[in-house]
Amino acid sequence: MSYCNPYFYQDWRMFAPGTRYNYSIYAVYEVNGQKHYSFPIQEVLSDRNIFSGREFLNTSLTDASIFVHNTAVNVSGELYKFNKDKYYQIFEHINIQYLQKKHDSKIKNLKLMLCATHIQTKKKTYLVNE
Amino acid sequence: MNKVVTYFFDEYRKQRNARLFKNLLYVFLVVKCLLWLFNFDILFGEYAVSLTYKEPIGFFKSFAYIIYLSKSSNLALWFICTTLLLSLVSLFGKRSYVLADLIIYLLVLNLDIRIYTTTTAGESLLVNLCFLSAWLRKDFNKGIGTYDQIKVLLHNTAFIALILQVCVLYGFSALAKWYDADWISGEAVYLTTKAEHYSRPFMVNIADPIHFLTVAVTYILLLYQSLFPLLVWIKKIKPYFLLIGVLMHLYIAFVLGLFFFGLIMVITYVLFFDFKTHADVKA
Repeated sequence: MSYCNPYFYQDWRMFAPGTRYNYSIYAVYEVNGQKHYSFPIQEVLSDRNIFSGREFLNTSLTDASIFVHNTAVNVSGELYKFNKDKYYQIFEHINIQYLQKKHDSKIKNLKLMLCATHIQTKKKTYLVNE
Repeated sequence: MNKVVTYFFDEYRKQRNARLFKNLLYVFLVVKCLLWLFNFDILFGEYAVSLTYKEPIGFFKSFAYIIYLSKSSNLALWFICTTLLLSLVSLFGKRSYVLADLIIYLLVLNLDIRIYTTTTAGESLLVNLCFLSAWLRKDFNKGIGTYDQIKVLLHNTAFIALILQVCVLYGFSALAKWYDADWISGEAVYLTTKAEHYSRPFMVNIADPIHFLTVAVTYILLLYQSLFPLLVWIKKIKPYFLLIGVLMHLYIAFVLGLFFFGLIMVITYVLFFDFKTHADVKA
Protein backbone atom coordinates (compact mmCIF):
# COMPACT_ATOMS: atom_id res chain seq x y z
CA MET A 1 0.00 0.00 0.00
CA SER A 2 1.38 3.37 -0.94
CA TYR A 3 0.33 5.77 1.85
CA CYS A 4 -3.43 5.72 1.68
CA ASN A 5 -4.19 5.02 -1.95
CA PRO A 6 -6.56 3.28 -2.43
CA TYR A 7 -7.90 2.25 0.95
CA PHE A 8 -11.67 1.93 0.57
CA TYR A 9 -12.01 -1.78 -0.13
CA GLN A 10 -14.85 -1.45 -2.63
CA ASP A 11 -13.08 1.31 -4.64
CA TRP A 12 -14.32 1.87 -8.22
CA ARG A 13 -15.47 -1.74 -8.68
CA MET A 14 -18.44 -1.02 -6.41
CA PHE A 15 -19.05 -4.31 -4.64
CA ALA A 16 -17.35 -6.59 -7.16
CA PRO A 17 -16.29 -8.67 -5.35
CA GLY A 18 -19.07 -8.11 -2.86
CA THR A 19 -18.68 -8.68 0.83
CA ARG A 20 -18.74 -12.30 2.08
CA TYR A 21 -18.13 -11.88 5.80
CA ASN A 22 -19.55 -10.22 8.87
CA TYR A 23 -16.85 -8.99 11.23
CA SER A 24 -16.56 -8.70 15.01
CA ILE A 25 -13.62 -7.19 16.84
CA TYR A 26 -13.03 -8.29 20.41
CA ALA A 27 -10.80 -5.89 22.36
CA VAL A 28 -9.31 -6.41 25.83
CA TYR A 29 -7.41 -3.49 27.39
CA GLU A 30 -6.73 -1.52 30.54
CA VAL A 31 -7.88 1.96 31.49
CA ASN A 32 -6.42 3.43 34.67
CA GLY A 33 -5.33 -0.03 35.78
CA GLN A 34 -8.76 -1.60 35.26
CA LYS A 35 -9.44 -4.32 32.70
CA HIS A 36 -12.11 -3.61 30.06
CA TYR A 37 -13.74 -5.49 27.18
CA SER A 38 -15.20 -4.00 24.04
CA PHE A 39 -16.76 -4.92 20.67
CA PRO A 40 -15.99 -1.83 18.56
CA ILE A 41 -17.83 -2.81 15.35
CA GLN A 42 -21.00 -3.92 17.11
CA GLU A 43 -20.98 -0.80 19.31
CA VAL A 44 -20.65 1.44 16.27
CA LEU A 45 -23.36 -0.43 14.35
CA SER A 46 -25.80 -0.16 17.27
CA ASP A 47 -26.03 3.63 16.95
CA ARG A 48 -25.24 4.25 13.34
CA ASN A 49 -26.16 7.40 11.50
CA ILE A 50 -24.13 9.89 9.53
CA PHE A 51 -24.61 12.73 12.03
CA SER A 52 -23.27 10.73 14.97
CA GLY A 53 -20.01 10.10 13.12
CA ARG A 54 -20.59 6.38 13.42
CA GLU A 55 -20.61 5.93 9.62
CA PHE A 56 -17.03 7.21 9.54
CA LEU A 57 -16.06 4.74 12.26
CA ASN A 58 -18.02 1.92 10.63
CA THR A 59 -16.18 2.41 7.33
CA SER A 60 -12.81 2.61 9.09
CA LEU A 61 -13.28 -0.43 11.31
CA THR A 62 -14.82 -2.74 8.72
CA ASP A 63 -12.50 -1.82 5.83
CA ALA A 64 -9.48 -2.25 8.12
CA SER A 65 -10.90 -5.64 9.20
CA ILE A 66 -11.28 -6.75 5.57
CA PHE A 67 -7.69 -5.77 4.78
CA VAL A 68 -6.15 -7.58 7.78
CA HIS A 69 -8.38 -10.59 7.14
CA ASN A 70 -7.14 -10.82 3.55
CA THR A 71 -3.48 -10.70 4.61
CA ALA A 72 -3.69 -12.96 7.69
CA VAL A 73 -1.43 -15.99 8.05
CA ASN A 74 -3.01 -19.39 8.74
CA VAL A 75 -1.84 -21.09 11.95
CA SER A 76 -4.12 -24.12 11.96
CA GLY A 77 -7.72 -24.80 10.92
CA GLU A 78 -9.82 -21.70 11.55
CA LEU A 79 -7.09 -19.95 13.51
CA TYR A 80 -5.10 -17.19 11.79
CA LYS A 81 -2.40 -14.79 12.91
CA PHE A 82 -2.38 -11.09 12.08
CA ASN A 83 0.32 -10.22 9.58
CA LYS A 84 2.17 -7.34 11.27
CA ASP A 85 2.18 -5.10 8.19
CA LYS A 86 0.87 -1.58 7.53
CA TYR A 87 -2.69 -2.87 7.29
CA TYR A 88 -2.40 -4.22 10.83
CA GLN A 89 -0.89 -0.95 12.10
CA ILE A 90 -3.85 0.94 10.62
CA PHE A 91 -6.31 -1.59 12.07
CA GLU A 92 -4.72 -1.32 15.53
CA HIS A 93 -4.58 2.47 15.40
CA ILE A 94 -8.28 2.79 14.53
CA ASN A 95 -9.21 0.57 17.46
CA ILE A 96 -6.93 2.42 19.89
CA GLN A 97 -8.36 5.79 18.87
CA TYR A 98 -11.93 4.55 19.04
CA LEU A 99 -11.41 3.12 22.53
CA GLN A 100 -9.55 6.19 23.81
CA LYS A 101 -12.39 8.37 22.55
CA LYS A 102 -14.91 6.03 24.21
CA HIS A 103 -13.19 6.29 27.60
CA ASP A 104 -11.74 9.76 27.09
CA SER A 105 -8.53 8.36 28.48
CA LYS A 106 -5.34 6.55 27.42
CA ILE A 107 -5.62 2.78 27.10
CA LYS A 108 -2.89 0.22 27.79
CA ASN A 109 -2.11 -3.44 27.02
CA LEU A 110 -4.59 -3.67 24.13
CA LYS A 111 -5.21 -7.17 22.76
CA LEU A 112 -7.31 -7.58 19.65
CA MET A 113 -9.10 -10.54 18.15
CA LEU A 114 -10.99 -10.43 14.87
CA CYS A 115 -13.76 -12.90 14.10
CA ALA A 116 -14.90 -13.22 10.47
CA THR A 117 -18.19 -15.08 9.95
CA HIS A 118 -18.94 -16.28 6.43
CA ILE A 119 -22.39 -14.96 5.52
CA GLN A 120 -23.58 -18.11 3.72
CA THR A 121 -21.84 -20.99 5.53
CA LYS A 122 -21.72 -19.27 8.98
CA LYS A 123 -18.20 -20.66 9.34
CA LYS A 124 -16.07 -18.59 11.71
CA THR A 125 -12.42 -17.63 11.26
CA TYR A 126 -10.43 -16.19 14.16
CA LEU A 127 -7.49 -13.81 13.83
CA VAL A 128 -5.24 -13.28 16.84
CA ASN A 129 -1.89 -11.74 17.71
CA GLU A 130 -0.07 -14.72 19.15
CA MET B 1 -15.00 19.27 -38.27
CA ASN B 2 -16.96 22.53 -38.44
CA LYS B 3 -19.70 20.99 -36.33
CA VAL B 4 -17.19 20.07 -33.63
CA VAL B 5 -15.70 23.58 -33.61
CA THR B 6 -19.18 25.10 -33.50
CA TYR B 7 -20.20 22.82 -30.62
CA PHE B 8 -17.24 23.84 -28.48
CA PHE B 9 -17.02 27.57 -29.34
CA ASP B 10 -20.48 28.67 -30.43
CA GLU B 11 -22.27 29.00 -27.08
CA TYR B 12 -22.36 27.77 -23.50
CA ARG B 13 -24.02 24.35 -23.68
CA LYS B 14 -26.43 22.91 -21.10
CA GLN B 15 -26.57 26.10 -19.06
CA ARG B 16 -29.36 25.08 -16.65
CA ASN B 17 -27.74 21.70 -16.01
CA ALA B 18 -24.36 23.30 -15.34
CA ARG B 19 -25.76 25.96 -12.98
CA LEU B 20 -27.85 23.46 -11.01
CA PHE B 21 -25.00 20.95 -10.86
CA LYS B 22 -22.56 23.52 -9.52
CA ASN B 23 -25.02 24.79 -6.93
CA LEU B 24 -25.85 21.27 -5.73
CA LEU B 25 -22.14 20.51 -5.49
CA TYR B 26 -21.67 23.60 -3.27
CA VAL B 27 -24.60 22.51 -1.07
CA PHE B 28 -23.04 19.06 -0.84
CA LEU B 29 -19.70 20.60 0.19
CA VAL B 30 -21.41 22.72 2.85
CA VAL B 31 -23.03 19.57 4.31
CA LYS B 32 -19.70 17.75 4.15
CA CYS B 33 -17.89 20.60 5.91
CA LEU B 34 -20.49 20.64 8.69
CA LEU B 35 -20.14 16.88 9.18
CA TRP B 36 -16.35 17.26 9.23
CA LEU B 37 -16.71 19.90 11.94
CA PHE B 38 -19.23 17.85 14.00
CA ASN B 39 -16.86 14.86 13.92
CA PHE B 40 -13.60 16.80 14.00
CA ASP B 41 -12.02 14.88 16.89
CA ILE B 42 -12.25 11.42 15.26
CA LEU B 43 -11.32 12.70 11.78
CA PHE B 44 -8.63 15.33 12.30
CA GLY B 45 -8.28 15.92 16.03
CA GLU B 46 -7.09 14.17 19.16
CA TYR B 47 -8.77 10.85 18.28
CA ALA B 48 -8.12 10.88 14.52
CA VAL B 49 -8.58 7.30 13.33
CA SER B 50 -6.48 7.49 10.16
CA LEU B 51 -2.86 6.64 10.90
CA THR B 52 -0.24 8.79 9.18
CA TYR B 53 3.24 7.80 8.08
CA LYS B 54 6.14 10.20 7.90
CA GLU B 55 7.60 8.94 4.66
CA PRO B 56 9.09 11.00 1.84
CA ILE B 57 6.55 12.19 -0.72
CA GLY B 58 7.35 13.63 -4.13
CA PHE B 59 7.18 17.39 -4.75
CA PHE B 60 3.85 17.39 -6.63
CA LYS B 61 2.20 14.87 -4.30
CA SER B 62 3.06 17.00 -1.29
CA PHE B 63 0.45 19.58 -2.40
CA ALA B 64 -2.22 16.97 -1.69
CA TYR B 65 -0.64 15.89 1.62
CA ILE B 66 -0.39 19.26 3.39
CA ILE B 67 -2.74 18.28 6.25
CA TYR B 68 -1.56 14.66 6.21
CA LEU B 69 2.01 15.79 6.89
CA SER B 70 1.05 18.56 9.31
CA LYS B 71 1.48 17.99 13.03
CA SER B 72 -1.24 20.46 13.96
CA SER B 73 -4.96 19.78 13.59
CA ASN B 74 -5.56 23.55 13.42
CA LEU B 75 -4.57 23.47 9.78
CA ALA B 76 -7.42 21.05 9.03
CA LEU B 77 -9.80 23.41 10.82
CA TRP B 78 -8.62 26.28 8.61
CA PHE B 79 -9.04 24.15 5.50
CA ILE B 80 -12.59 23.15 6.45
CA CYS B 81 -13.63 26.70 7.32
CA THR B 82 -12.15 28.05 4.08
CA THR B 83 -13.93 25.35 2.06
CA LEU B 84 -17.18 26.16 3.86
CA LEU B 85 -16.81 29.89 3.27
CA LEU B 86 -15.84 29.58 -0.41
CA SER B 87 -18.67 27.10 -1.04
CA LEU B 88 -21.23 29.44 0.53
CA VAL B 89 -19.94 32.47 -1.39
CA SER B 90 -19.94 30.51 -4.66
CA LEU B 91 -23.40 29.08 -3.96
CA PHE B 92 -25.02 32.48 -3.47
CA GLY B 93 -22.87 34.37 -5.97
CA LYS B 94 -24.20 34.86 -9.48
CA ARG B 95 -20.79 34.68 -11.10
CA SER B 96 -18.37 31.77 -11.41
CA TYR B 97 -14.98 32.02 -9.77
CA VAL B 98 -12.54 29.52 -11.32
CA LEU B 99 -9.81 30.33 -8.79
CA ALA B 100 -12.16 29.82 -5.84
CA ASP B 101 -13.30 26.49 -7.31
CA LEU B 102 -9.73 25.32 -7.82
CA ILE B 103 -8.86 26.27 -4.23
CA ILE B 104 -11.91 24.28 -3.05
CA TYR B 105 -10.65 21.32 -5.11
CA LEU B 106 -7.20 21.47 -3.51
CA LEU B 107 -8.60 21.84 0.03
CA VAL B 108 -11.07 18.96 -0.38
CA LEU B 109 -8.32 16.75 -1.83
CA ASN B 110 -6.12 17.47 1.20
CA LEU B 111 -8.92 16.92 3.70
CA ASP B 112 -10.01 13.60 2.16
CA ILE B 113 -6.46 12.26 2.05
CA ARG B 114 -6.02 12.98 5.77
CA ILE B 115 -9.11 10.89 6.64
CA TYR B 116 -8.46 8.11 4.13
CA THR B 117 -9.69 5.23 6.29
CA THR B 118 -13.15 6.81 6.54
CA THR B 119 -13.58 7.54 2.84
CA THR B 120 -15.51 5.69 0.17
CA ALA B 121 -15.56 5.88 -3.63
CA GLY B 122 -17.75 8.96 -3.14
CA GLU B 123 -14.77 10.99 -1.94
CA SER B 124 -12.61 10.03 -4.95
CA LEU B 125 -15.49 10.99 -7.21
CA LEU B 126 -16.12 14.26 -5.37
CA VAL B 127 -12.50 15.34 -5.84
CA ASN B 128 -12.71 14.66 -9.60
CA LEU B 129 -16.04 16.47 -9.85
CA CYS B 130 -14.66 19.49 -7.95
CA PHE B 131 -11.80 19.77 -10.43
CA LEU B 132 -13.94 19.39 -13.55
CA SER B 133 -16.80 21.60 -12.36
CA ALA B 134 -14.31 24.41 -11.64
CA TRP B 135 -14.33 25.10 -15.39
CA LEU B 136 -18.12 25.18 -15.69
CA ARG B 137 -19.81 28.60 -15.66
CA LYS B 138 -22.82 29.82 -13.73
CA ASP B 139 -22.88 33.15 -15.58
CA PHE B 140 -23.24 32.95 -19.34
CA ASN B 141 -22.44 36.43 -20.65
CA LYS B 142 -20.70 35.81 -23.92
CA GLY B 143 -18.25 38.40 -25.23
CA ILE B 144 -16.29 38.27 -28.45
CA GLY B 145 -12.73 38.38 -27.09
CA THR B 146 -10.26 35.51 -27.00
CA TYR B 147 -10.70 35.15 -23.21
CA ASP B 148 -14.47 34.77 -23.67
CA GLN B 149 -13.91 32.12 -26.34
CA ILE B 150 -11.62 30.20 -23.99
CA LYS B 151 -14.25 30.36 -21.23
CA VAL B 152 -16.85 28.87 -23.60
CA LEU B 153 -14.42 26.17 -24.71
CA LEU B 154 -13.52 25.25 -21.12
CA HIS B 155 -17.18 25.16 -20.05
CA ASN B 156 -18.24 22.87 -22.91
CA THR B 157 -15.19 20.61 -22.55
CA ALA B 158 -15.67 20.30 -18.79
CA PHE B 159 -19.35 19.43 -19.25
CA ILE B 160 -18.48 16.60 -21.65
CA ALA B 161 -15.70 15.43 -19.30
CA LEU B 162 -18.20 15.27 -16.42
CA ILE B 163 -20.61 13.20 -18.50
CA LEU B 164 -17.74 10.90 -19.48
CA GLN B 165 -16.64 10.61 -15.85
CA VAL B 166 -20.04 9.20 -14.85
CA CYS B 167 -20.22 6.88 -17.88
CA VAL B 168 -16.68 5.58 -17.29
CA LEU B 169 -17.48 5.01 -13.61
CA TYR B 170 -20.54 2.89 -14.49
CA GLY B 171 -18.68 1.16 -17.33
CA PHE B 172 -15.71 0.24 -15.13
CA SER B 173 -17.94 -0.90 -12.28
CA ALA B 174 -20.11 -3.01 -14.65
CA LEU B 175 -17.03 -4.62 -16.23
CA ALA B 176 -15.73 -5.64 -12.78
CA LYS B 177 -19.14 -7.13 -11.98
CA TRP B 178 -19.27 -9.22 -15.16
CA TYR B 179 -16.03 -10.88 -13.98
CA ASP B 180 -17.33 -11.52 -10.47
CA ALA B 181 -18.92 -14.86 -9.57
CA ASP B 182 -21.34 -13.37 -7.01
CA TRP B 183 -22.86 -11.02 -9.58
CA ILE B 184 -23.14 -13.65 -12.29
CA SER B 185 -24.81 -16.11 -9.87
CA GLY B 186 -27.20 -13.38 -8.69
CA GLU B 187 -26.06 -13.51 -5.04
CA ALA B 188 -24.28 -10.13 -4.78
CA VAL B 189 -27.20 -8.05 -3.45
CA TYR B 190 -28.23 -10.85 -1.05
CA LEU B 191 -24.69 -10.98 0.39
CA THR B 192 -24.53 -7.21 0.74
CA THR B 193 -27.94 -7.15 2.44
CA LYS B 194 -26.77 -9.78 4.93
CA ALA B 195 -23.52 -7.92 5.68
CA GLU B 196 -24.21 -6.00 8.89
CA HIS B 197 -21.82 -3.16 8.03
CA TYR B 198 -23.49 -2.51 4.64
CA SER B 199 -27.04 -2.99 5.78
CA ARG B 200 -29.58 -2.25 8.50
CA PRO B 201 -30.87 -4.75 11.09
CA PHE B 202 -34.35 -4.94 9.49
CA MET B 203 -32.77 -5.61 6.05
CA VAL B 204 -30.49 -8.33 7.47
CA ASN B 205 -33.58 -10.02 8.97
CA ILE B 206 -35.71 -9.94 5.81
CA ALA B 207 -32.90 -10.91 3.38
CA ASP B 208 -33.75 -14.64 3.48
CA PRO B 209 -37.53 -14.37 2.85
CA ILE B 210 -36.92 -11.98 -0.08
CA HIS B 211 -33.99 -13.90 -1.57
CA PHE B 212 -35.73 -14.16 -4.99
CA LEU B 213 -36.10 -10.36 -5.01
CA THR B 214 -32.41 -9.80 -4.23
CA VAL B 215 -31.49 -12.06 -7.18
CA ALA B 216 -33.74 -10.02 -9.49
CA VAL B 217 -32.28 -6.74 -8.17
CA THR B 218 -28.73 -8.06 -8.73
CA TYR B 219 -29.41 -8.65 -12.43
CA ILE B 220 -31.32 -5.37 -12.82
CA LEU B 221 -28.36 -3.48 -11.31
CA LEU B 222 -25.90 -5.34 -13.52
CA LEU B 223 -27.88 -4.46 -16.63
CA TYR B 224 -28.51 -0.90 -15.46
CA GLN B 225 -24.82 -0.14 -14.95
CA SER B 226 -23.77 -1.94 -18.14
CA LEU B 227 -26.33 -0.17 -20.32
CA PHE B 228 -26.18 3.25 -18.63
CA PRO B 229 -23.76 4.83 -21.15
CA LEU B 230 -26.15 3.85 -23.98
CA LEU B 231 -29.68 4.08 -22.58
CA VAL B 232 -29.21 7.42 -20.84
CA TRP B 233 -29.30 9.11 -24.27
CA ILE B 234 -32.71 7.73 -25.32
CA LYS B 235 -35.02 10.63 -24.60
CA LYS B 236 -38.25 8.64 -24.27
CA ILE B 237 -37.01 6.46 -21.43
CA LYS B 238 -34.49 8.87 -19.90
CA PRO B 239 -36.70 10.26 -17.07
CA TYR B 240 -37.67 6.77 -15.88
CA PHE B 241 -34.13 5.51 -16.35
CA LEU B 242 -32.74 8.35 -14.24
CA LEU B 243 -35.45 7.85 -11.61
CA ILE B 244 -34.37 4.21 -11.16
CA GLY B 245 -30.79 5.43 -10.71
CA VAL B 246 -31.78 8.07 -8.15
CA LEU B 247 -33.71 5.47 -6.09
CA MET B 248 -30.76 3.08 -6.30
CA HIS B 249 -28.33 5.72 -5.04
CA LEU B 250 -30.64 6.90 -2.26
CA TYR B 251 -30.77 3.26 -1.12
CA ILE B 252 -26.95 3.16 -1.21
CA ALA B 253 -26.79 6.41 0.79
CA PHE B 254 -29.30 5.62 3.51
CA VAL B 255 -29.35 1.80 3.78
CA LEU B 256 -25.87 0.70 2.74
CA GLY B 257 -24.47 3.67 4.64
CA LEU B 258 -22.31 5.01 1.82
CA PHE B 259 -23.85 8.43 2.39
CA PHE B 260 -21.47 10.63 0.41
CA PHE B 261 -21.21 8.24 -2.52
CA GLY B 262 -24.99 7.84 -2.83
CA LEU B 263 -25.68 11.57 -2.69
CA ILE B 264 -22.88 12.63 -5.03
CA MET B 265 -24.13 10.14 -7.64
CA VAL B 266 -27.64 11.60 -7.39
CA ILE B 267 -26.15 15.05 -8.01
CA THR B 268 -24.37 13.84 -11.17
CA TYR B 269 -27.75 12.83 -12.64
CA VAL B 270 -28.52 16.53 -13.02
CA LEU B 271 -26.00 16.56 -15.87
CA PHE B 272 -28.13 14.16 -17.92
CA PHE B 273 -31.57 15.65 -17.30
CA ASP B 274 -33.31 17.35 -20.22
CA PHE B 275 -34.80 20.58 -18.95
CA LYS B 276 -37.77 21.88 -20.89
CA THR B 277 -36.95 24.93 -22.99
CA HIS B 278 -39.37 27.84 -23.44
CA ALA B 279 -40.27 26.42 -26.85
CA ASP B 280 -41.20 23.06 -25.27
CA VAL B 281 -43.40 24.76 -22.70
CA LYS B 282 -45.21 26.76 -25.40
CA ALA B 283 -45.75 23.64 -27.51
